[in-house]
Amino acid sequence: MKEMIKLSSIKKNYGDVKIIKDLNFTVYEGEFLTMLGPSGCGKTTTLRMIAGFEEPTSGEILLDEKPVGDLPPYKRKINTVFQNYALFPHLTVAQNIAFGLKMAKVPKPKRSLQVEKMLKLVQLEGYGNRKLDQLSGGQKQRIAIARALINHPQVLLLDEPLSALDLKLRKQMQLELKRLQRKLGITFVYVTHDQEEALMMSDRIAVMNKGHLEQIADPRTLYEKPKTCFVANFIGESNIFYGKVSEITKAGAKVTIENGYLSIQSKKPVSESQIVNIVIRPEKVKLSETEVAGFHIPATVAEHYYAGNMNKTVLRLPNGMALKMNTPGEQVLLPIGTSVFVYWELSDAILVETASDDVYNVVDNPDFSTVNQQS
Amino acid sequence: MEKSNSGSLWKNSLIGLVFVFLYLPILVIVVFSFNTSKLNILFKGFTTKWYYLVFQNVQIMSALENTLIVGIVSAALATVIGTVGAVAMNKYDFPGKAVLDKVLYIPIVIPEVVLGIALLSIYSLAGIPLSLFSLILAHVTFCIPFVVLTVRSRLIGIDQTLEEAALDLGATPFKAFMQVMLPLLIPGVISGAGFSFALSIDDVIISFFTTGPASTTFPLQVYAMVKTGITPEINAISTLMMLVIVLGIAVNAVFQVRKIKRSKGK
Amino acid sequence: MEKSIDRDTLSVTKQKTHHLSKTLTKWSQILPISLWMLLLVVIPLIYVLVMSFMSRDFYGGIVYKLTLNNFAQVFETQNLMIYAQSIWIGGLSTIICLIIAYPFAMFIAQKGPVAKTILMALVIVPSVSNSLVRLFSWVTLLRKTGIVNTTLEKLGIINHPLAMVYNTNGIVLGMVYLLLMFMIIPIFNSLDRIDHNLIEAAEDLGATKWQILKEIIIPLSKPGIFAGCIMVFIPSLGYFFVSDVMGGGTSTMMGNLIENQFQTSRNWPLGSAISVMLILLTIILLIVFQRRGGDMSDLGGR
Repeated sequence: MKEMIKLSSIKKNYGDVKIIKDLNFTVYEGEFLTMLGPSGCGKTTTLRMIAGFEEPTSGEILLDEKPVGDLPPYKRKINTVFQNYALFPHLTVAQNIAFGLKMAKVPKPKRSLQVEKMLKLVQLEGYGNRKLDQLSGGQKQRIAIARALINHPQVLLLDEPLSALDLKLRKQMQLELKRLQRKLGITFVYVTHDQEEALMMSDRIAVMNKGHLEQIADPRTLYEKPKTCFVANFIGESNIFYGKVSEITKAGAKVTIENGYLSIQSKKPVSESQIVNIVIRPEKVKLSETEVAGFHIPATVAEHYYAGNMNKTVLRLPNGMALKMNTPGEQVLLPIGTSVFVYWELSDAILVETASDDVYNVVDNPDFSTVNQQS
Repeated sequence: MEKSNSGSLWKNSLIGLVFVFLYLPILVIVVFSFNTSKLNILFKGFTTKWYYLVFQNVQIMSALENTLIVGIVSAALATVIGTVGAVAMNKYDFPGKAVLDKVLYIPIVIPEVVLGIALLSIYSLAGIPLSLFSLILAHVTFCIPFVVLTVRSRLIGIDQTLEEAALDLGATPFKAFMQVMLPLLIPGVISGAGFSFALSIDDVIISFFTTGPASTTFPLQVYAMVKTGITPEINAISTLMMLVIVLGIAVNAVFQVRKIKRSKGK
Repeated sequence: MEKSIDRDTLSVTKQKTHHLSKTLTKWSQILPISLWMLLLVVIPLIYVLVMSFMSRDFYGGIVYKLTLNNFAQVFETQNLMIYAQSIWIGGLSTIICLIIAYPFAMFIAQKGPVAKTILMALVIVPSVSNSLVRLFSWVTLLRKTGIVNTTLEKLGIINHPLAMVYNTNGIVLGMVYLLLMFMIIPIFNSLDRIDHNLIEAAEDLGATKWQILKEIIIPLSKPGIFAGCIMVFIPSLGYFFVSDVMGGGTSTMMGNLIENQFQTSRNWPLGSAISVMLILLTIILLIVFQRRGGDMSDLGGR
């Protein structure tokens, strides 16, 4: 498959601050790729470098397999949908959409035809002569998209385009954008901090954190096989345990954690005293009145939250850690304060290779000094 | 905020009084333009003769002509230089930018007499004769900062990503400026130009020092006549000038009101 | 950038010219205004400073010999009296403008958007007509043989005509009249900017109208007040034509002093020295203004 965009060893500094630290990845032709990460991770900066508004401090960007150098934005066959739409206030809807064609000196009758086509594509037929201040956020969004697409760019860049819309509208637009991309077959590079959005729309997701790439894969792989604790935590909900291998078993190993132990199954052999990170998704957490073989994780039911389609339960572990559990909405819930034991199917746990600095819900500085006194 | 009626009465009275104070001389100018007495100390009788006599007064007409030429040229030049400068200062960083910013305030803040004598001195040093040319140079100098201020305040309200959007869509930097930034800046630019023109045609102090005997301006002409008394001719031409300018302001104000009404009624 | 050189030398040249045109674009926008300000503001003022240390020859030319004579003359008693007079008149004018402008601006700021725009436009309208002609109208009205006096005498209210112009009162009147607008506009702008929610919050917390004025409105409009005071006081120091027209030659002010040296007396170095003092005074006031949180952009008038 053709490499539409390739980022090689991209570094970007602002003065002394390293915004992007050695970024490498490829975007293939026709795919919907999302750059996902928290604020400040560098995703927007990267997008702007692809568009040509910023230049990398070092490294190379290849567009359509050719190095882009410092080609200015108006010479790249790329168009951007801006976060705040950036529609020209002094022009009508039609004039806004036609702008790119006007710049390319396309004659007026041809322009008008294209504009009509675009309006139809984004379901705003008849809005051509309207002025911008008469339109809603969702409509402005669609005009921004039409304006970008009319030039038939090789790549469409979208910088958090839906962040200003309310929830229902956002969900609607997510579906529409996905549908549009499938229909047109244009390569989309999308930026968002909303992981649900990313999971739903993307062919592949590049998860970024503090200027580097944590993992790039399709949504399912990211969810089921996160490579780092950051990805495990950022995509979907997770509970993460730090532990030390105390005993090798047939299936994998027995791991000591603070105030308890658990069992893991692993394809790669682990060694004794190795530190491992175990991720268990809330929907895979199970409770039992009595201890289950291989697990010793006592907990107390702390809180229930009702979310319509599911129950979110928080269990408190003796060391203070909050464990998240999701169960179907109609499930009967244990009263608050009940003492339980936590366990799960061995195959449901995910062994994550690398921990990273900002992991949520984990015990800071797990104390292993008490380990030898137990079991 | 609701106010009691008596409170409103006091407030409107004060407003009215201040306006009376501001407009009384205007009234005098207009009324005395019809004065039969050339001495113009007391109103003696009604006549409209001054309105065509003034156009035959060579001195006044040539001074007026100078004033208008200088006004238009200075306003145009100052507007171009000031607008380009304001846009550049908003967009770029360059060594000495902070200094330039402070320097721009100098003509606004220092007493005009200081700028006037400074310019006179430098003309003398550089051997520039005092004429319309030296006058225009001086007027552009004190107009540029005002243009920069008006354009700048307009710039602040413009979304900076618009220019990027234009570039993204294939516009060269020049086209992006002409097609997107400039149309949005126009109200500020026109304001700046209008302001410059108004400043220029009323200027006394700086013109006093920077113009030559052959290129006297209307305000300077009036200044010279102050000792002997201002004739109704001056009142007449002043009234006419006022009418023309007020019409321009009124039209602009109507536009503004329409804009507010339109954005309200949605 | 080495990889690109390997691939395409032409693209390197293209990049270089692109860089060049970018720099050219940038500097062609910056230079006009920078050069103009340098040549016609900075350099002339520096020259004035230099001149203030020079002497004058018999014919009125400039002798390039360093001297402090001019500054010695500047501080002569008779001149000090003139500065005191200028500052007094300027200060009085500023205070009067403030007293008139503040309530005026406040009442207008309380009106609806349409009324506000119209009223503020009406404030500016008189200034489109020539300043000198307007000043002279006051002379016409208030002179001893003018309308007001003759009417008052006819009505028997006074026996002798009042001396309202051709004296210090006249000068103050002239200054206030011409400069009132420059006090009104910054004060109006700062009052208009006040968030109405703040006033409502204060009312909610039990404040009376006077308390709101004292605790909230006045403090928040301070920047406008300062800007207005500067825009009235400083120009008044140099407005020599006002003291000429309205003062009847009874008072000389700093502006007249300077004008004198450059026209009649032909003592440019002395005139420069006085100007330097005026500039210093202006700078000191501006520093005080900025220290107290003033924003330079408020001084623009509009």
